[in-house]
Amino acid sequence: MDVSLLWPWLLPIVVVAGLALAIVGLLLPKRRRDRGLPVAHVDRMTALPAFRGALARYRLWIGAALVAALAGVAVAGAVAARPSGVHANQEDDYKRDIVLCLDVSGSMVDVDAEILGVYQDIAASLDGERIGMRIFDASSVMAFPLTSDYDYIQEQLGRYVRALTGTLGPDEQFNYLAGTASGLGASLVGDGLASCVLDFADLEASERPRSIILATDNVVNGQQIFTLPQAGQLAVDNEVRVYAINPFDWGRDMASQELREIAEGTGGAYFSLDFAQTVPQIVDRVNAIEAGYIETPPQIQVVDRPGALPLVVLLLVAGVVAMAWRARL
Amino acid sequence: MERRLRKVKTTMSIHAHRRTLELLEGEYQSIHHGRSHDFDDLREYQPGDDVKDIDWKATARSHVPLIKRYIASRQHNVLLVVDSGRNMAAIAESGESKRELAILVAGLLGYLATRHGDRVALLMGDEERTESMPEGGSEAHLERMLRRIDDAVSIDGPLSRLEGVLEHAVRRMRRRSLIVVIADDLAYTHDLDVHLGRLHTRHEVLWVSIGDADLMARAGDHRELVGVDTGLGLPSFLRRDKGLRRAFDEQSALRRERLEAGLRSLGIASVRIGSSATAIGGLFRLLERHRRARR
Repeated sequence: MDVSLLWPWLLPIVVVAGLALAIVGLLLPKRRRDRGLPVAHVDRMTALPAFRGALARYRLWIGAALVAALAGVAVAGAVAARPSGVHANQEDDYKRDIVLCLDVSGSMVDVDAEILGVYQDIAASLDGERIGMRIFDASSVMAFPLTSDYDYIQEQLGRYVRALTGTLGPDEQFNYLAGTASGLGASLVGDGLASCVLDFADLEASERPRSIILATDNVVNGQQIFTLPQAGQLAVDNEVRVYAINPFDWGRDMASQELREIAEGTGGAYFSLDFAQTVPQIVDRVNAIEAGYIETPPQIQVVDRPGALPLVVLLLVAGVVAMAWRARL
Repeated sequence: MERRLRKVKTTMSIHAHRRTLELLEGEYQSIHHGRSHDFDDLREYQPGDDVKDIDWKATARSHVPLIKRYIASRQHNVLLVVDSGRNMAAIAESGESKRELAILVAGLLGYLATRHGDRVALLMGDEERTESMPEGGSEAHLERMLRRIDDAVSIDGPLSRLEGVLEHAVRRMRRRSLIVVIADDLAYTHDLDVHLGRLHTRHEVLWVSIGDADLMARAGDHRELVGVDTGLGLPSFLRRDKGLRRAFDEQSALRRERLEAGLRSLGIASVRIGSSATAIGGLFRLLERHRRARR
């Protein structure tokens, strides 16, 4: 712990003041004649052999009290000079917004369930981050908006995982595809991404880093309002990074190439789901990349660190009082 | 203005019953030796009067014991020797001022003497000065005397040195007198012994010690004391020291004992008076002792 004095000039002032007071206190009793009752034949006491010992004891007490008082002043001066240390507070929890943007066309169901499962695990340990979720096919539907209610997020994610894997309980049956088929065609990725970008409700106001986890194979079938490059531009305009996960990357096909370009164009990344990369690994890497965008400079705080010094002052003062009482000063 | 003497008289009437006062007067009257054969008058016997002086025939004629008085026995010289040094400005055993006590003692004795028709003189002194007042028999003279003592004694005054005053008395006092030395708890030195011895061969000497204050703190007395001779303070811490107190008690008892023994060996009656309340009783004892010691 690095401790330095914030007001170092105060220490010598206090110490000098204490010394001056001590000197004044030592010189003042010279004028003590008016203070006591006059008595004659003091040699009755001072000539006694026992007097010398008693006087030595008396001086010892006074000396000890003086030393303790000066030490107390010095330590009090040290406290007054504000010993302080630098405290760097690095906030390592990044407060970002994530929208899970999932293509729920038939081929993507397994991958979606895996992504949701991973985020369900992560949600348990999040703090301050907001997660929202949107599913799309021909049209997009908001599963739940950006929220930091993690119980709710986990509940919803769990519900969708079970729906996607077909393990819904008898009391929670619902059609998760409801509302995703009202467009012209299927798997309209451009529209889906655009609506996901617009999900960042307070687009202008928030400075939280935004990212989208886009799971799609980019096989568009139908008429889109937004093309994928247009949706990508919308994401760039709104400073949203798109992380694309493609389970069906066949190497050099056009759809995969386009998705990679769009994702990397927004500052995000592209992952193809193959033997080398599993969904949890991909999510870890997304989080690692995102961490780089979390600009939380370490907060440098100057903190008073008097440590045990006030206690020492207290003990010394108590000692001085006790000794002064003992010596009947 | 007879402020000081009135105070003496008030003290007498406060602290003593009439009987005691009469007793005291009787003691005073009977301390004198010298009798002439010039018969003066008869007066009623008072306790303390010498039985030798009773006129038995006159007593037989009247119903009360009567004693003879002689002219010579009515004119004595009384010399009050007072320490006017700084020591007398200190406080006494009772906490009163030693000066006040000394004035009270001087006033009591002087008053008794003037009432008896004796003439009172004063000699006081210290390290630097010696002052004296001639004999006088009036109350006004006594009052002036007491005022002189009051004015002379101060805490800034010179240090006490009674030996010098006594030496002066030895050299100057030719007429046979009754000398009352008003001092305090001083140490009995060789010089003192010599001067008192020489003084006692010519005069009758009585010794009154004004008791000095206790230097040790007892019963919750935590005041600070300052020695008048050195100006040094005696802090409460030292006054409370148990070992020191034991040594002090031993030493001060020894010191007092030595003074008394020394005076006794010279044949000088002495008394120690610690407070104004015990002044009259103390003086009574002193006169009684003196009368006995003479026989």
